[in-house]
Amino acid sequence: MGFLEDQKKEMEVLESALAQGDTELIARLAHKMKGSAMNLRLDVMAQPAASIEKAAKEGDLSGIPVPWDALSRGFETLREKGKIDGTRT
Amino acid sequence: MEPVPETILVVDDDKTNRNLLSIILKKAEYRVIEAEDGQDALTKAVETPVDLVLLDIMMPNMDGYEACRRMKEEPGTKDIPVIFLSAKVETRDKIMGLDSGGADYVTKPFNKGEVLARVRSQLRIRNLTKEVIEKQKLLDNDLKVAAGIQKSLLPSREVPENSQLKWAWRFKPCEEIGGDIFNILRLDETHYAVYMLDVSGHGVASALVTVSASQMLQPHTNTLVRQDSGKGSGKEMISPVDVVIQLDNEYPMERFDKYFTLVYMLIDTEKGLLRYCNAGHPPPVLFRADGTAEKLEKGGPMVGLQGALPFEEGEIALDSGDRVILYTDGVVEYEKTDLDFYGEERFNDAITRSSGVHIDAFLDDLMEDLTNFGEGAPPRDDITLLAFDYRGSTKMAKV
Repeated sequence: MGFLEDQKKEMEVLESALAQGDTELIARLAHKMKGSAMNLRLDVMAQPAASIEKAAKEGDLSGIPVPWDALSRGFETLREKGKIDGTRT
Repeated sequence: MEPVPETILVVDDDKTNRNLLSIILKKAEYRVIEAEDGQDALTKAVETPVDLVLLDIMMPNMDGYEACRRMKEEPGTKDIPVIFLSAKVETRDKIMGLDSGGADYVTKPFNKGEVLARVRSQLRIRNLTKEVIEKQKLLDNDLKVAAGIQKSLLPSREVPENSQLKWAWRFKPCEEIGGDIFNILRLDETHYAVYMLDVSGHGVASALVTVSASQMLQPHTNTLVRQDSGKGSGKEMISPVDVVIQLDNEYPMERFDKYFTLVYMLIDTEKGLLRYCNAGHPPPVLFRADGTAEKLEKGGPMVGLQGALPFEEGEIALDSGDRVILYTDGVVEYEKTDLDFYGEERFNDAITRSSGVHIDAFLDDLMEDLTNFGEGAPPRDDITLLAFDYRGSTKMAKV
């Protein structure tokens, strides 16, 4: 399993947590994502993940869509360049 | 070549039972040896190579449960499958038999066909297990050889030193073949490059990427770190950020399904100038002679995203007495027990304590601190440390 496939899975899990509005789970997932992105200096993901974590911890669901959008775009940038189509195992 | 018949040890205190089993097994072309109680069985299983044991439970001297337990404790007999054969038909007895290490359990009076089928089945499992063990031994040996080859790529003890730089390093590989590599390159009289690289994951694939990348970074065979200036005035040093960008293009993540973090430094010993690019690697520490410390974080993401995110370069003016420490995450993520890591704080403390300590003693102390912390826990990742002291330019030294 490559790094981008791992991240894609995490993004999907996070997305479903967002759909459920489970702030506790969102905060936990965003925290984890922030950590791994920071380790690899993937600022385009680390910063929005940090914002999502913060909003989720404050129970502020309305503050999540903007950083989530940034996070998705950040991830897409990496995915395009890493040329992983997501179907490869 | 005739197949060697498999040997079965029949253990029963009743001679009639032994005879009956012997006849059945010999007809099926097994070699049979007999023992009349648990103690006798242990002796015979050690004396003769045995492929399987048919073991009665209720016997004088030593019962079947005890004999089985002891066989499972002995390295020479622990892999021999034991089938209990007993008149004890209670589920509790079967459980005790299997718990003492038995592979199967047949009740008396037994059916000849069933005994033979269970013997065949256990021998099949044993042969497959043997095969797997043999193959694993070959693989382990290959991995050991590969780890040796990988280690041979690390700098030899005699790094081409000059009077301005003093180098030292420690490398403790994890049990598996790992993904760390580093090297010190002398590019000309006044320029050194040093890099440290950590490929994601472990195992053969990661190790091969380290080998490939270290080949790319060889100044004698490649133009990655140095190239002709085109002006006839010798070689031109490639800037650290350009080295990283080239590697980033050369090793897209999809190529080997691997990425790596890297710090590449270029040191001009005469000017006391350190230029570096940190690609997602734990930041090296610049420990100044005055006791202050600085993290070298300028750079970008890990290598493998093909320019998805930009890289930048850091520049540091070195002073005499400055020390730079490079390391991989195997140091700070060294785990004593679950989630109890050595951590950055301990690492930074160890550096701060080392003011004025000789570079070799410093790394020895740091390794000792790690070992003491871990209480013998085997590292899950390579532990790599490299440090150098800058002693000022020759001009400064002459003053």
